[in-house]
Amino acid sequence: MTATVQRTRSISISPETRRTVIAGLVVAAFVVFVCVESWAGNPVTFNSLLFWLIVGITYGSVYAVAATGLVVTYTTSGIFNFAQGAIGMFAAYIFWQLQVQWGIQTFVALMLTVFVAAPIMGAIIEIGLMRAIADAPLVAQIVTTIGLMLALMGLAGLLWDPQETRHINRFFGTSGFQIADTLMPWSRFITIVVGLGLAIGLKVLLSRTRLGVAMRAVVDNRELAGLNGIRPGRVSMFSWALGSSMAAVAGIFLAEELATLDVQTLTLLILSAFAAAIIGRLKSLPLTFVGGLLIGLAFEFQQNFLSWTGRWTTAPLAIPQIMLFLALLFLPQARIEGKKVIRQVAPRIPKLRTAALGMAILFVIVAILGLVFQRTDVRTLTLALLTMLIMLSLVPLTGWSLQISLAQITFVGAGAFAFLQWGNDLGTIGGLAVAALFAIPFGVVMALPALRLQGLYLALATMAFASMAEILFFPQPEILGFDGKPIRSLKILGFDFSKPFHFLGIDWGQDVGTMLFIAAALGVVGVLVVWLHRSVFGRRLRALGDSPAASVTLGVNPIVTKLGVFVISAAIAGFAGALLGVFQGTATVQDFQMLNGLAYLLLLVVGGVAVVSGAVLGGVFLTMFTWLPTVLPNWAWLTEFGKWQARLGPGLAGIGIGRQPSGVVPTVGEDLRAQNARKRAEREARERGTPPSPGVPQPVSTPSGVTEAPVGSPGA
Amino acid sequence: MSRSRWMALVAALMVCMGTLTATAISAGAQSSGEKPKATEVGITATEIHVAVIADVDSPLSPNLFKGSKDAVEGAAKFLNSKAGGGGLAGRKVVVDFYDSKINPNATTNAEISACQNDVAAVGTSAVFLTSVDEMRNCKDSTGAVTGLPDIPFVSTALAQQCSDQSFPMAPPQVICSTVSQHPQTFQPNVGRGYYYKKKFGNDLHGVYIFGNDSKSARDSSFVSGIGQLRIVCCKSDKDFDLSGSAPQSQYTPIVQEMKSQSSNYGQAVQGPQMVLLRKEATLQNLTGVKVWDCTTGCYSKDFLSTGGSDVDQNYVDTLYLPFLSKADRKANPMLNNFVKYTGENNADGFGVYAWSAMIAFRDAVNAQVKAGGVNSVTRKAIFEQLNKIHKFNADGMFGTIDLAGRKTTPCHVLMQVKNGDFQRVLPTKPGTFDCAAKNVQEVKLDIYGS
Repeated sequence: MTATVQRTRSISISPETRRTVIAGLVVAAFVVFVCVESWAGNPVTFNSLLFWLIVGITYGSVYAVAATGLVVTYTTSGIFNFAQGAIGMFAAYIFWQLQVQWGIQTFVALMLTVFVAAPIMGAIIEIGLMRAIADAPLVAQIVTTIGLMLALMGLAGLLWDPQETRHINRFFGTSGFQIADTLMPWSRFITIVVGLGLAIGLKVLLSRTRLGVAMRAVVDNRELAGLNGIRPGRVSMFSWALGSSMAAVAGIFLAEELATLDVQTLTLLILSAFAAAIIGRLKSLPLTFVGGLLIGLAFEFQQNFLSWTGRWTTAPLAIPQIMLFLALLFLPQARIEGKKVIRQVAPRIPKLRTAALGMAILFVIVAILGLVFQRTDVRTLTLALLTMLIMLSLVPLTGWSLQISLAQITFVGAGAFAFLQWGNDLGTIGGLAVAALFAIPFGVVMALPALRLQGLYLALATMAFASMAEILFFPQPEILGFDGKPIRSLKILGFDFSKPFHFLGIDWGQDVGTMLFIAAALGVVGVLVVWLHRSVFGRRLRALGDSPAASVTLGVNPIVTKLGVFVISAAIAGFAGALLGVFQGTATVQDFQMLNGLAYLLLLVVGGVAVVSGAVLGGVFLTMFTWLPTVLPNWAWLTEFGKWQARLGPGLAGIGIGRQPSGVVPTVGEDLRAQNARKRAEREARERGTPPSPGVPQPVSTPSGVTEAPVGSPGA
Repeated sequence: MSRSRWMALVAALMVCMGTLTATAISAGAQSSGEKPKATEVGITATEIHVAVIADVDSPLSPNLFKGSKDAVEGAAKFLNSKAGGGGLAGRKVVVDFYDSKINPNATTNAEISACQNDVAAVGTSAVFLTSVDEMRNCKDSTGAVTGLPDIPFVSTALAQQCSDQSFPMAPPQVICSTVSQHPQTFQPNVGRGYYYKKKFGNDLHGVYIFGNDSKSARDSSFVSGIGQLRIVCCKSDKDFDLSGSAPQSQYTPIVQEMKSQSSNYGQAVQGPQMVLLRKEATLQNLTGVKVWDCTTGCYSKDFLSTGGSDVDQNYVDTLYLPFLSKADRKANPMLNNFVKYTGENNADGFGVYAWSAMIAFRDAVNAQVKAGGVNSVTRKAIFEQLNKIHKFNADGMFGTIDLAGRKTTPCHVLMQVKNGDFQRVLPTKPGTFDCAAKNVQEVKLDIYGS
């Protein structure tokens, strides 16, 4: 009897495994369904299968190399490098410069790029950026690497004129060997061999060598590793140098397969490797290699055997994102991390009255500017306000509960669609309400992975979600269609906000009404967000952000709380999306691309992700980069400056956040408060005739970034 | 003096008198003591301002339509030169460039600024110009809503392609009056197909490769002379959709398909696609293809330099005179001016359309000056004149289009890459087009859905 029970226990399946198996079956059924529906009818022969495998493995090997670099960097530095594709792209351009432009022999140019230029680039990145953010919050790490990606893309565009065509010749020309009907060129064979070799070699390096063990030890505990004789700085630098070399190899392999070098193409193609890295769970190099091959094989499978027409014409472009999303869904439950307490400058929660006053002042400033600005500047200011509103939707989600969403742009698009669909029938107010409501299911869908995933995995899942929405959802003819759709202007009780109007004895120009409406909406939502911050739910969010484990012990239901914050965030973003559509007069697929959405998070974090004023500052920053060149005098050097700042500005701002992870507003606010407290103490000491106490009361920071006013301080 | 000599003398005198009379009439209309003065938004006593709205300085796609900007600015230089007539309507042509940055707000702001400062928008190349409301509601100097005359090169949205205030240099493939019908009627130029048929017979068949990065771009390629060549000569063994950024290894299945179907025809829309297809075909030793077919996407120096010997014998079809050919530049002075004033390194296929847009603007202004004098040029008058232009060919450098009727051209020039250069095959005479009426066919397809 006992033996039977033991046997039964030993074959029993855990609930998580059961869920995974069921989800796997559902996905498999879906894949089979898609294949059957899209089957092109090509005969499946030995030759066609062999051919599919050859090409798929070749293509997949490039992804495998790129993903291997990602995993190496992550395993050895703890930072997921969103700029991996951009580093590979930059290295490919360096290789072109050496080989084609300067005529250096191919092998030498390759060695110089992979073993000199790329490692130097990696080392500089590590010393200049990554070392500063090693202990920073995840969102700051993500934003820094996204900033690096944008900066490298901008710099490449400035250094190598995009109008000029550049291409790299295939290594060993057209020579190769025959497999069945297909010629395998040596260059592709080398790609496969190098990919496999790197996976094995790095596996050995990381697990069997002292250096590899040291690299992993530095990630686990930098200080402890240092106490054991490891030099964390050097080890970390080596890791980044190695990761950059991997990126360079992938970039060059890809570049020789392209007709022309292109900044965006190279960067984004390597981004597709994220799925492979996740299949390897960001630690297993062999699994990562398999993941790369799977992407290549999936691509080639659809190319060989499936046919996409009509509304699904662009569907193959979503394959890496679908694979990334699925890979993330099948990841085991993330560990609850409790060991790492990150201190950062803590923003203060303003009183409701203060927040309302601040928003009223903002409204008045906007109104005054509306009187003096030209119409184009009014529109630019309106765009800044809309940007603030969209960023505001991220404050509770990312700022307080630390749920990183790169899919905010999808909620914005959903709101715009809802308003164009139902705004005519329901009127402006009804349309805006429906826009907010319609975005909520999107928030719920996004919250589902968030129940299991956290941190980086959640960020990647939301990124994949946004990409899938961009390729598969928005272009549908029933949604936005491929050419976009028009959206009506704001009208309430017959009053058209876009038209000029007369009020308080003043003539207000065209579009000023829309701007004031949006400014008022921003003010209301801003005050509501502050109210939320001060509410019980706000405290729960902060608790969740501080420590999910501790919050559960205090009775916080993480499922309800996460769902709630995603719902609130999606509703605000949907509302903002409707207003964005109204402002533009149209809603198109291009407006809601994932890449556009990254800038919102990036500049919000620069401003201060946990505070409403951070969103205001972030909105100003983001709009300024495109607005500034239009107002600069038409002098050659200023025009050139305008071009450089527009291309590099957002990226550099993101990079800069590595030094101040809390953002500009909280950091400056903290400095000012400390300065005031010091002055006050000095004044009081002078009045008492005693020297000031060294222990001037300081605000107390908590890991979530929320300030508790110290006991006895004037603000308590 | 013999009778025949008398007759020749009289005829010569008549020709001289006729010429003098015509010149006098023209001069009277132009000068007649009239001093140019400010007549319209963008028209001062000394300057006539036109806007070029183009996506140039974008971080993600830098210099996308710089060619359009360069060409419009070059055309202004030409029009202001002695060779170009020393200005328009007695004024200097000034180009105001507005960068639309592949950004909706920048695009709308550019439209607003153009409405406030310029008499017309010429060579517009903005991907995000999805609504023409700003242009349509543009007011003239009297405050009346007249709209902003728009002569674009790129018009991605149907709203602009079929707007009665836009006169696209590349007329829409769809016949605008059928847009709301099911199916719609399209007007592809399939002229080169007749050449292929005549030269290679009726048995041409093979693959068509379209870009699938954007469905609208894919659709517009499919309904144009690119995708519809199949109705004349070249049956499709299989249509492939591939991203413009796909690496060469993704062309291997296409080449294998061509091998298995014994295809003798292969077409790709974009230059880089064609280069990779040809390179992969060379790699996989694909032989037996009689026609490698491409259109304007392949007409560039870059195509020759990146393709090298792999793209030899490739056919390339354009709807304008080949500006890279010295012989054509010699045969057509306007083509020569385009290259000269835009700059040898800046002149590209986009530029041809933008330059031609400026010539259309010149024609409209000159026609108005002729009709009402130098101070009669207003936006309304420009609209009226543009609506009268039914045969436009930019002084012969551009296949004749019905600008006002938004009808595509039946004219084309077919070239073939030989020894690293584009060489004419139809027609062979420099400066000429093949303009047979049958080149434009009507095709019914339901692309815009229900």
